[in-house]
Amino acid sequence: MKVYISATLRNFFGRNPVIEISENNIKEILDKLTDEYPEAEKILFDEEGNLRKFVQIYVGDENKTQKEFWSDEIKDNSEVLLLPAVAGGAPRESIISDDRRKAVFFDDSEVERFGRHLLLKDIGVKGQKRIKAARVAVIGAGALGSPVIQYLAAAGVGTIKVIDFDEVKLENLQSQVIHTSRDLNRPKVATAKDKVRNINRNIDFEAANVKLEADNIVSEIDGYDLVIDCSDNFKARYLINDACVLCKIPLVFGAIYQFEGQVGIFNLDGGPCYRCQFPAPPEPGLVPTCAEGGAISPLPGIIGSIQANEALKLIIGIGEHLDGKLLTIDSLYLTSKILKIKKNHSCPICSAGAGITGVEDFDYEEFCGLKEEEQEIPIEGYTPEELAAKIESGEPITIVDVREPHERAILRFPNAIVIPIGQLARRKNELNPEQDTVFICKEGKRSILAINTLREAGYAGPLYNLKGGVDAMKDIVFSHEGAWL
Amino acid sequence: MSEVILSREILRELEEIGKRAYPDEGCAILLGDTQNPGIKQVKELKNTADKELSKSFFQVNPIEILDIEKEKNAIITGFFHTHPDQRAVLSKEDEDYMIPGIIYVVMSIVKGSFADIRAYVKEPDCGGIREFDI
Ligand SMILES: [Zn+2]
Ligand SMILES: [Zn+2]
Repeated sequence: MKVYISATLRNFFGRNPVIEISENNIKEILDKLTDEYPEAEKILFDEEGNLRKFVQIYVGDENKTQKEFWSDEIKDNSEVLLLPAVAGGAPRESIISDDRRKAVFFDDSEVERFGRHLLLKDIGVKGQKRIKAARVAVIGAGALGSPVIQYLAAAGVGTIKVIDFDEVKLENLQSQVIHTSRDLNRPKVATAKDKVRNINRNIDFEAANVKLEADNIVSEIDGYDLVIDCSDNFKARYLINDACVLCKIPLVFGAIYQFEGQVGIFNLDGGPCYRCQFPAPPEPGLVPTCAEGGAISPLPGIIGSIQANEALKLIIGIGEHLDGKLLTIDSLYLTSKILKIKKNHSCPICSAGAGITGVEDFDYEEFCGLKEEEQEIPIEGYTPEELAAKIESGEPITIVDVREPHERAILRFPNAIVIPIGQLARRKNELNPEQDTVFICKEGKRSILAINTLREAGYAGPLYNLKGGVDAMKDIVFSHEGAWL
Repeated sequence: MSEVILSREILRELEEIGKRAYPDEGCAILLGDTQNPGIKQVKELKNTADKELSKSFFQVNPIEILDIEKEKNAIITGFFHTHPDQRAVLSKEDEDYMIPGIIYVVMSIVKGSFADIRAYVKEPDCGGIREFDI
């Protein structure tokens, strides 16, 4: 009898449109086909031996795909057809299931409090119930966390967990509007808790005053519907991404630097993750962290508000959002662009082949080269006192400042020459290999990169690092002011 | 090859199919010819899913596809469907129904107008799914 193979499936059957087979029931015909075309077996059947959903079997114009028909005898003159099943469904609307939404009720004061949301056609009772049912973990109660936590609380998110190990410092008050002068030296999660309580006492607030590491992050975020990354460094960013992939939790990512910010949604329903676009952190020092780089006060307000808005859209199940996209906003020139992020087939974390079973306990600081003592060639350095003594003694040394212009503007280092790291290799002739050269940056990390860069470029003269950077040098007092600031 | 090329006309045709079907899912077959295996032609398919289901589901009568492949001197390169008011990402069901090596183009139609378009191909061993550039 003739077995017709659809053009869509023909590639797996030696491109034959019609195969002549003498067997007279579907079961035996399939056995015969996979005998003859072994590669077709994996295509037609899944691991459990069930026919894959995209295959349909017809005899004449009758659908005989169901197994119960497979042993029926087929008349010799009929045609068996292997056809494609073309079908599909839409992705789920909200990250909150209908069952959980339906279990939520509002009292009178909540109806009044959320009245403006309830009136919005796209939110309504259904959306507001989803918001109340939601469990959201916010990582970082700093610049981005400030607007995120407050807006989630104001919108009525039922359970908010805030994870941060830090305490409030004076310099935080420039951008972290959840904290006030009264909160100095308090844990940031304590301030966040007070703030949320003051907004709405019905919210379940969970504070975790811990530093996230590979061995605790999974237990801290597991079971939440959504994670919002409000961290300020690459180590945390990668740790959070990897843990979200492992726990299958969607992630609203945010980052700020100077005047520019980024927002994106990763790992939503198996969508792309942060590593699909950025498989590994950048070279240490090339990109200063927010703590080193700083940002204009309202920028985290803009970016964090967009993060909170994206989070609520995911929860309510409305609108077009930044799933698999990275929005970049330049607050200085008011431009924005959206970069589409594709699922990376060879992503080290979320691809089918990665098969991760735990957040890898690798040392991110070492990975990022932030550990000074573990450099391949040990780097010699001066303590601030040693450098100060050398400057005072008038010994001829070259001081190279690799900081960004805005950092130098805050604190100029006298008698230093300025060479950006990117230009070091080509400008190495400006250095005198006969005398000591000391590299300085803000925290003593980028200066290590500078030294490694020069060594790689073949520079042979003595190179030293200022340990702890200019930050550590601030308190040094010189015997005569002219030698210093 | 990890790129799907759609001409402006094809894109417009797909958008029209999506808008016409809204708020239901629209679907179409994407055809190339023997000289050029790309996407040269679009033919709308009938979504046979029940009225109740068709807002978030689509289904095509396989005989309709059989007729197309028998009558046309064309090569089936892919299938297209829309997600009304939903993202242009594959649902679990979409993935289950994907035939390896065939291009699946998904368009998001939000409030009746075009929002996003993405293309996916299942690996030949029925393993992972790759997103292609459009
Ligand atoms: Zn679909
Ligand atoms: Zn990934």
